Amino acid sequence: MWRYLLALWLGGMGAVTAAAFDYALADRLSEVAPGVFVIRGDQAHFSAGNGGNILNTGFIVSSKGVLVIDTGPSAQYGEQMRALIGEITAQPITRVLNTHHHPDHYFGNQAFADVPIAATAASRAAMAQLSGDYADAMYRLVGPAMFGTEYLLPTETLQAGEISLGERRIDIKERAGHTRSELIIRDTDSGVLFVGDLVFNERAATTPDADIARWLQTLSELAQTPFSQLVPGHGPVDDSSRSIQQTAAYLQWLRSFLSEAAARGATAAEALYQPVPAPFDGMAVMPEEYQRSVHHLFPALEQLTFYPPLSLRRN
Amino acid sequence: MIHAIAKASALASGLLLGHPVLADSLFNSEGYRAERYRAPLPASAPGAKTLSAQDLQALLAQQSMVLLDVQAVVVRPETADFGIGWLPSRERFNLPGSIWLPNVGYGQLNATMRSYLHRELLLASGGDVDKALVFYCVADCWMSWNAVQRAARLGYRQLYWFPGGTDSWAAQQLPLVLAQPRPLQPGPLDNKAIPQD
Repeated sequence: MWRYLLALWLGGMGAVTAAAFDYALADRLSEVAPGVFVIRGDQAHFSAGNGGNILNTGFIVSSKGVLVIDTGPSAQYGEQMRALIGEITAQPITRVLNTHHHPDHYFGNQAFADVPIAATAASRAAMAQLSGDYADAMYRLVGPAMFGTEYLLPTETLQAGEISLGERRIDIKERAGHTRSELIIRDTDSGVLFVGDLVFNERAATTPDADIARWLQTLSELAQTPFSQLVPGHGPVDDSSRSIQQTAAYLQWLRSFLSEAAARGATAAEALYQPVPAPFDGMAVMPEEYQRSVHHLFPALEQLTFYPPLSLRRN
Repeated sequence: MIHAIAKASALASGLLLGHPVLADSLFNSEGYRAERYRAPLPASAPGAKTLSAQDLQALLAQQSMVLLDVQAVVVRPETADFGIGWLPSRERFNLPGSIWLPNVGYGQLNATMRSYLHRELLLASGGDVDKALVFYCVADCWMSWNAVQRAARLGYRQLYWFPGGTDSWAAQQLPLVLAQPRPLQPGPLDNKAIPQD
């Protein structure tokens, strides 16, 4: 049976025709430093209208190849990103990096199947475990723009350290917070820092896999890191550390607000409908992102309030 | 003898290892897709003719066909207080004149769902195994691929698979209408009459 299915599979991929989704990536492209490009996404949640393009991707061009940083939410995004890179430079794409294991950052990998695709060991493990569920969810949320997307996992394990890209030196760090493993990618010549989803600019942070204490540590470290421009995973490129402070302030508020609600005996349903105060109410994707964070974070905070670990109990 | 079996199984596992993505994990022993239902599709489903939206539109102008939408929804199980029923999370718009049979495209069906499919196909076809049946859901969804093969195993002989579903129908600017799933009834009416698939 499996042999038959394999033949069928290899023979017929891509048979279904549905209208192509135009991400208009050229209109979203900017060169933030010589040879360093960012493609901006919408400040929104996944929808059929935005095709799942709610994130920033990037690429760095050298005289000996191109490094791609994240590949977007779908096969069609990946294909259109690759075509756009081809319009900017004749250099071949030599490597793709996935900054972390969330689907909007690697579901375009399929368009780079002939190129080494690297992620950290922790990200690769999470992707291997979760991609099937992510695919179902992305099709449900995004619909037609997902057509033809068969997720492709990274092919290489990335270690922290320096990698060379032609004449350029790229410094790679791995830190935890938004997920267990996030890349911080620094182009040492230009000083441009790609921080993935460790920083959200003018947009509420997402927390399904967050460890807020570790995230805040990472943000303190980032605030001490020199850079010329900071490219967040979501939101405008920042030439100051304002977006770092903003993300940290929001996470601190979120943690203390929900902890206090849990401590006074509020239920998750009550916490859900608390108004988000200024300045956080002005961030994009509010209050939806706050409400999702209640789901993500409240049960553990409740647990901590009512059943603290023995070491914290006062007897 | 033992050596021969060991050798054969080593060979088999070697072959499987060479093709890690397929059959084992995604398809069950009956050959149905049993997980990750939203993914690119093959060109055809065994026992059925594949139709594009244009093909289907042309055929519908020539002949009588039964349109069967198998888009899945959440099912509410029977309890002491509530009967079994569908819980659609949002409105569904499908091809005019369709019969919506949710969930009959899952890889594994329980007795209630097998009975539901069997009965609904009998009603829709009037018992004529040569009635033309068209199965669809949405684009990149394996449920219609499963369902059309189930119909073949139930003895239906004029089978069509429309893999683009409501998405490619809408992409051709063809009309869709608000749909209601055919109701579920508790338990099989007559277990013995229903083929096991």
